[in-house]
Amino acid sequence: MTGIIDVQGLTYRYPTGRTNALDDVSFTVETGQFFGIVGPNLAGKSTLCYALLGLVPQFFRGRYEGRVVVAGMDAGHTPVHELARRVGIVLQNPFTQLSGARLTVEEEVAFGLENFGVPRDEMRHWVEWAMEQVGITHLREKNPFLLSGGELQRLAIACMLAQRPDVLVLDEPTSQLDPRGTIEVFDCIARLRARGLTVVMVEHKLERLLEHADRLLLLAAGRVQACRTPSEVLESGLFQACGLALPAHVQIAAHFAARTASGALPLTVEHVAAALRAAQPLVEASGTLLAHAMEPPARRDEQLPPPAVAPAIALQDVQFAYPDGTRVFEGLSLALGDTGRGVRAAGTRHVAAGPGPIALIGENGAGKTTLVKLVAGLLRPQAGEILIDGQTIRRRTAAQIARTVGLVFQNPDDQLFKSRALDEAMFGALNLGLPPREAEQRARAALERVGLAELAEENPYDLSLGQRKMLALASVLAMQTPILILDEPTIAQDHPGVERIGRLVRELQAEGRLVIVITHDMEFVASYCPQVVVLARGEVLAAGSTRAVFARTELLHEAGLEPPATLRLARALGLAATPLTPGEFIQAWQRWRPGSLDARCPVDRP
Amino acid sequence: MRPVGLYVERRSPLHALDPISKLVYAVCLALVPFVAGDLRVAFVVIVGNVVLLAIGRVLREGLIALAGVGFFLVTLFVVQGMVYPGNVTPLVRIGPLVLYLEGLAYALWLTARFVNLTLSAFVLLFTTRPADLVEELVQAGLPPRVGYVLLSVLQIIPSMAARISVIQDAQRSRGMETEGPVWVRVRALLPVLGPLVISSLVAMQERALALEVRGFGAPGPRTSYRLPWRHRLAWPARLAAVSALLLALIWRLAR
Repeated sequence: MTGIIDVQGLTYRYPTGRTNALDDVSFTVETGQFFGIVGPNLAGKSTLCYALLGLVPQFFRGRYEGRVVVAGMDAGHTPVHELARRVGIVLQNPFTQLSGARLTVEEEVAFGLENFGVPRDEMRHWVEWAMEQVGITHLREKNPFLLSGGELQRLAIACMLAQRPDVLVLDEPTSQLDPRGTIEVFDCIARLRARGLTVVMVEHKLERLLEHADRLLLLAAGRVQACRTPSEVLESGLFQACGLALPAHVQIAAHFAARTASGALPLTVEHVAAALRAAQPLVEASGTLLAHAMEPPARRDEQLPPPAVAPAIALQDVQFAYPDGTRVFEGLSLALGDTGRGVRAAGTRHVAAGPGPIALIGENGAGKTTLVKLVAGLLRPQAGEILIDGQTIRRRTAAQIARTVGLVFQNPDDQLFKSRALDEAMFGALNLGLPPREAEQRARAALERVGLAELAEENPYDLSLGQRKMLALASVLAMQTPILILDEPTIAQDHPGVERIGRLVRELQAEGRLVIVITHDMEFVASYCPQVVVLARGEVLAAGSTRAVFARTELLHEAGLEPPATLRLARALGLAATPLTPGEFIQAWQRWRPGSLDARCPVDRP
Repeated sequence: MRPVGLYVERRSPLHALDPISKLVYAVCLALVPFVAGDLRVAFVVIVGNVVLLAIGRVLREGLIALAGVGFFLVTLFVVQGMVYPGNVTPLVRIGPLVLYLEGLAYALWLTARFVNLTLSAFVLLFTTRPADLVEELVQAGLPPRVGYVLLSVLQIIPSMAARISVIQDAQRSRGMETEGPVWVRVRALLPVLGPLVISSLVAMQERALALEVRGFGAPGPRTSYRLPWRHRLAWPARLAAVSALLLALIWRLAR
């Protein structure tokens, strides 16, 4: 094997940057390897991806030192279009990766080949091949602008594959995808890798990355913290020191000091199950790793007061279709929130009521966002009734409903427009007609809650995406609405950010607000949302206690979802219990395999 | 997302004809009345255009669009009927207003040319996807970069319109009123334009970056994935259109 990527002493600072985005980064990637890059927000992961394509420094300019050689070319000096013949990149946002000038999916895939002057017959062959690899052949005639997020992501990969690169760089290629879409993308990459493709991937979804990666580069504050096999990186303790969390099943393996036959830390659910089965007798792990792995995340065991009376939402026989004729709901009935008010009146069989935030889950296109837009009055049902606290919202404008229902959109850039974070946080409160002084007080308190108090005077566009999402959340929090809906709040958040949001939604619920979270992050649901609603193709498949719903794994599969790793591990081991978090699993496993009791087992969910 | 332009999705012989032939037709036939300088010729060409719109199964859409400028045409008759410099023969008297024959005849001549120009353009625009037209022009020799700019504008305008509605939703959910009197709507503009402009700039940078890695800056000749649009009547249609223009010229010179 030879090194197809060789990075030596790479230091880079953006023209407007105050610190180095990359600082003395060195590593080598062998031909055919799957090379994972992980790290907290602002670690420099995307910048490193740009450097591999020569976009840093050629496109972004700035101060550049060191040497990056990819496929035998010096990335610092070889024109990007020359590098692009051998190296492909899939960026975070698949939408902006479209050429914007092609009418059909197949023409879009061909765009790069046209630029490189590939003859038409050859082009047809590779376009067909690339579409087959990612499973979008059936979409060939569709307008790329009309594809769903998941379809767009696969199209972006196909566009790069058609150029037949030797190296494929992927920057969070599954961030917009549901669990099924994520698995499909990873399977596709695995197939291509079997044909000799070298893959470099930045990814927050560690479970999948660990399944495939040969080596892992841990980056923090622009510096390489570790670059070894995934097991070695996870066991080093550096992972946690950088503010990242081990995947749930790896935490469990670490706790029991479970090892594969080769003595390494097992990284997949199957390997952890095999290692736990083989461990005779079970022993407690010791040393740094255990201490790091089992530190109770965000003190989930803290006792919150029981919630005050929460508001209630009832949807009765709601029908909705978009103007282009796409039917989403045909008689949806669902009750959310306080069972005492309004919910019973709905007389529906689907009820998610009880303490704790409610998660709204389902695959891409299931109707989750449409549902919350109906509740927020941004869309109007063609038939049926939506009641909040027993009152119809039919005659209220969206702005009036916003006094009751706060909706935080997935993309903060759809909202932010002020030049100061504090002004942005005050916008919603001022719209409610509050005096400026009170709006400012509320805004400051909201910024404090989301961890942005120090950044109140900053320009929102100087903040990271994760911080901008927090700011958009703060501006809705400052409105102090009885109902709060968050659309994919954990995307673009690193581990501390996810923990903060988890804590926040539970506190808000405890304050008597009804909190609804749309998410694809099943670990977040398992940890923070005791109630869940599963949507599939515009219908409610199940609603109620998360534990009861997650216990029905076949139902989750039907909805295109995957149970949390802890639960899959329990099923693989034949446990009858339904543990949702590592702490619960450990307790269940110890009960089932006595003789290995660990009194220090943490309680890591509310 | 509604595409830019007047294109109406139908199946018709006119839809099947290649865009360049229709472009040649539209340009030549729009010019015929100007070149011929004869009202009778203008009416013949108008009838021809109406027949073609009917063949293209878009006559209804064409007439509705034309009705949209009806008010402007009526004003033209009134104004010219009253104030045309050559007015001598009073024709209609409505109270203090007098409409003259010469002025009305001149308005009719202006209207005939305008209607013909519009209908000729409709023959092209109602039956041709703008993107198909640009693609064909690129294949016929238009620089690919110019073609790219035209095509991306055609695609990005509707996607921006879709984005405006998303941003409006996001601001309405923060209590911003967008319904009601004009001043409320005007006040709601900034919170929509701000994110639109900034996110468009960001998207533009990302797209420029994506184009770079897709070989947009690569030197050397480009190829085209699409087969050139072939139609057995393409050359006869172009020839007929150019002949019509030549005949108009001969008509003008012969008079």
